[in-house]
Amino acid sequence: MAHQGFFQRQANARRNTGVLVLLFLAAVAIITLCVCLVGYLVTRSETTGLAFADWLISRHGLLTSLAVVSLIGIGSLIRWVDLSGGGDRVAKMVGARAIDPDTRDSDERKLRNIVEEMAIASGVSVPDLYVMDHETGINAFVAGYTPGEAVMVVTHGALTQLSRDELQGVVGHEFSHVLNGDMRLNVRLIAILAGILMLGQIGSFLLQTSFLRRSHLSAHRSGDRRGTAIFGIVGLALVVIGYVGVFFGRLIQSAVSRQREMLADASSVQFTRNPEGIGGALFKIGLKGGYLDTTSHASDMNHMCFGESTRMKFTALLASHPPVKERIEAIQPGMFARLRSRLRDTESAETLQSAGSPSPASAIPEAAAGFGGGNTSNTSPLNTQRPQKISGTVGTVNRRSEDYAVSLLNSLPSTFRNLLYTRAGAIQLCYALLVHQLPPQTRQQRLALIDAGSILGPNRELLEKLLPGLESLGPGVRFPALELAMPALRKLDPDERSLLMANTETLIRADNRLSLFELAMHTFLRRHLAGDSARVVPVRYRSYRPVMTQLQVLFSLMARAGAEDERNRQALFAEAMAGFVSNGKQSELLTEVSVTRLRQALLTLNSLSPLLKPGIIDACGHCVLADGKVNASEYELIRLVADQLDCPMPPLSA
Amino acid sequence: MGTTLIGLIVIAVVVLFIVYLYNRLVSLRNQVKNGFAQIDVQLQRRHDLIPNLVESAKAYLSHERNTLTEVMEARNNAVSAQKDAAGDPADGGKIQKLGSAENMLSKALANFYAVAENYPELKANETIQQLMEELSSTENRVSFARQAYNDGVMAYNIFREQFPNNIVAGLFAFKPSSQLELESPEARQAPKVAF
Repeated sequence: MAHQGFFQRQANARRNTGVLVLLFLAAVAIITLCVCLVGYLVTRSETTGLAFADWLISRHGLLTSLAVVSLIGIGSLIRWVDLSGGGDRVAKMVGARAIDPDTRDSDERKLRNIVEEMAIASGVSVPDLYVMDHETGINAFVAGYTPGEAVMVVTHGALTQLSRDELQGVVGHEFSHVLNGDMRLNVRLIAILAGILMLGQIGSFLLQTSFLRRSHLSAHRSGDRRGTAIFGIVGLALVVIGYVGVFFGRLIQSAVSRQREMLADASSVQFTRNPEGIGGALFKIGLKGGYLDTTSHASDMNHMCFGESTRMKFTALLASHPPVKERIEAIQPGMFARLRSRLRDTESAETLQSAGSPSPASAIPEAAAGFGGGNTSNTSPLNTQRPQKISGTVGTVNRRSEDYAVSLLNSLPSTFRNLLYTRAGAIQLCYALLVHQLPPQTRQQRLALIDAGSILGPNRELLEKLLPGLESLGPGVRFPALELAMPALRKLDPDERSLLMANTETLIRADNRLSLFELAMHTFLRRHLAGDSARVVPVRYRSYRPVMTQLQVLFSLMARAGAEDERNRQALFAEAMAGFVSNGKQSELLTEVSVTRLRQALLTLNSLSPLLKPGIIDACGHCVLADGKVNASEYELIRLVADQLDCPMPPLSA
Repeated sequence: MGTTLIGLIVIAVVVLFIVYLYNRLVSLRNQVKNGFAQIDVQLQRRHDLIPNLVESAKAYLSHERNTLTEVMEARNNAVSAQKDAAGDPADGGKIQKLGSAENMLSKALANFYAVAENYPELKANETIQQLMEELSSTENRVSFARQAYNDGVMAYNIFREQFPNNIVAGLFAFKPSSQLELESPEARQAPKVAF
C-alpha cells in the first residue's frame, strides 16, 4: 500500500502552507496595485499623461501605495493587538474553568497525565489546562500567541466520551498546533484580512459622505460637485476592492487552516504512534457534528461578509477544517469504512445525519486552533447521547477466537498432537477430517477413491489413531487441528501439495455435497498450500454498493450462526448491514443460504478493494462475538471468510 | 568598484547562511540531548511511584506476597542500574543493563496487573485506581520519551546529512547521533492486531 507516512504528510502540509501564504501575500500586493490603479485613473487628467507603470514610481504613485499599505497595516495592527493576547483571556471568554494541577478528579487527572505525556512526545512545554464544564460536545482548542502562553481548553464531552487513546490523539493534535505555531499564523492572517476589510469600510464611509454632501449641501459650484463625484467613485472602488479582497483572502486563509489541520492530524500520529486514537476521536466528532455527509463549518462564520445562502454554497471552500471523512482517510486509508462498520447502530446513523446542522452560535474564538470544526455549542440534542462503543472491539475477534482455539488444542491428547507435527500424520489428518463423520463402511469406500500407491495414500494405521480422537473430541477441534498440521503440510513438495489438494477434492466431491466445513477446509488448504497463493486478485469494486447482494448473503449466514432465535438474528443482521447500507435501503435476512451461493458471494467480495475488506471482516466478527463466545461453526466461518477475502488470519501456533 | 560590492554582498550572504545552518544544527543537537535526559527523568518517576503502589496494595494482596516482592526487587535492581548508568552515560554496556533491568520491571508489573485482576476490591480502591493511572501514564511517558528522542535523532541526522548542511556539519564536527534500540525480543513484538 503506497500510503504516505505521517512524516511525508507533514512535509506536504508544510509545503502547501508555504504556497498558500505566498498566495495570500500576492493577494495583498494585488489589492494595493488595484487601489493604485484607481488612484491613477482618477488623477490621470490632472497629471501629465504618464503610463500606469511610470505613474506608479512617481511621487503620486508611491504615496498612494504607501497610504494603502499603511492603511492595511493599521487595520491589521488593531485586530492583531486584539487577538494576540494570552490564551487565558480566551479561555475565560468561553467560560472555561482552569484545572488545578493537583486535581483529585480522576478524569481531570487523566487529562493532565495525557497532556504531560504528549508534552514529552512533542517536546513542547505543558500548557495551562481548562475545561468547559457545560459543554457536552466533543471538542478542544488551544489559544495563545506563543507556545509559552498557550492554554488548552477541552470540553467536558471530550473528557467523558473519549477513550484514553482517543483523548490522547486529540491532545496530540492540539500540541501540533502549539508546536507549529498555528495560532500565530492564523492570528496574522486574520489581522491582515481585517486590514483589507478596513479598506472596504473606509470606501463605504467615503461613499456615504459623498451622498450626504450631494443631498444636504446645496453647493452649486462645479468644482465642489466634481470633488464629491470623485469621492463617490473612489469610495465605490475601495468597497469593491476591499470586499473582493476579503473574500479571496478568506478562501486562502481557510485553505491554510485546512492544511494546518492535516498537519496536526499527521503530527498527532507521530506523537502517539497510534492512528486508531485520533481516528476514533474524529469519528466520534463526525457523528456528533453530523460530519458524515456534510462538511464542517468554520467557527468564525459570523465574520463573513456575505449572506446566508452564499455561505452554504461556499461551505467546503470556507471551512476551516477538512471534512472528517477526508481527515480519517488521510490518517489511514480505509479507516473510515472500518470505523463506520464498527458502529452497530442502525437508527442512530440516520438520525445523526439529519441532526447535523451546525449551530451558528459557536463559541470558539478565532484566535484559537480548535480540534474539530466550530461545533462546540451545547444546543445539539444529540450531544447527550453516548456513541456506541466503536473501538472497543479492536483486535478482540482475533484474540478471542484464538483463545477459543488454543483452549481446544490444550485439550488434545499429546499423542494426537505429536502426530500432527509429522508429515504423514498431517496428510492423514486431512483425509480423516473429511471422512470421520461417516459410518465405517462408507469410510473405507471413500478412502478407496484415493490412489493408495504414493506416500500420499491413506495410511490405515495412522488413520486408526486419528479417527477416534476426532470422534471423541467433537467437531470443535477440527479446524484447530488442521491449523496445527499446517507447518508439516508446508514441508511437502509442490507436486505432493497438488496431489494432496487433488485427493482432498476427490473426497469432498464423493458425496456430491459441499458442506460448510469442506468449503472452509478446501479454501484454507488452497490458501496456504497452492503455489499461486501469492496471486493478485484484480480490484473490481471500489465501493460497497455493487456488492450489496453478496454482503446480504454473507451476513445472513453470519447472523444465523451468531444468534439462536429469529428475532436476535434479524437484529444481528441489521446491525451487520448497518455499516454498509446507504440511503436507508433495507435488506432482508435470507432464510436459506447454500454453500455454493456463499462461495460465489465470497469470490465476488474478494474483488473489492483491499481497503474495504477489513470492514466486512469486522462485521463478521461482530456477529460471531454477539453472544460473547465462539463455537466451532462460527470459528470455521470466520476462518473461511478471512481466507476467501485474502485477509488471512495467521494459522495458530500452539 | 561595482564588482567588489557584489562580491562583498555574496560573501555576507554566504556567511549569514552558514551561521543559520550552524545555529540550527546546535539547536537540533541539543534537542537530542534533552530527549535523552527526559527518558531518565521518566524512569525516575516510575521508580518513585512503585513503592506507593506496593504499599497500598499490600492490604489486599496478603496472599500474593511473592508478586509484590518481585515487583519491589525488580524496582530496586532498576534503581541501582539507573544510578550506574547515570554515572557513566557513555558506557553502552551499562545502558544495556539498565534496559534489561527496566524490562524485568515491566514484566513484574505486568504480572502484578494480572494478579490484581483477580481482586475486585483492590481494583475498586480509589487510591489504587489513581496509582494505576499514574503508572500507566508513566509507562506511556517512558515510551514517548524514547520516541521523542528517536524522532529528534532522526531530524538531527537528516538535517546534518542534507546538502549543503553536511559541509557545515563536517566543518564544525557535528557527529551523527544514534537511535535507541530495544534490547528485548518481547519489546519488539508487534502490537495487537487490529482486526
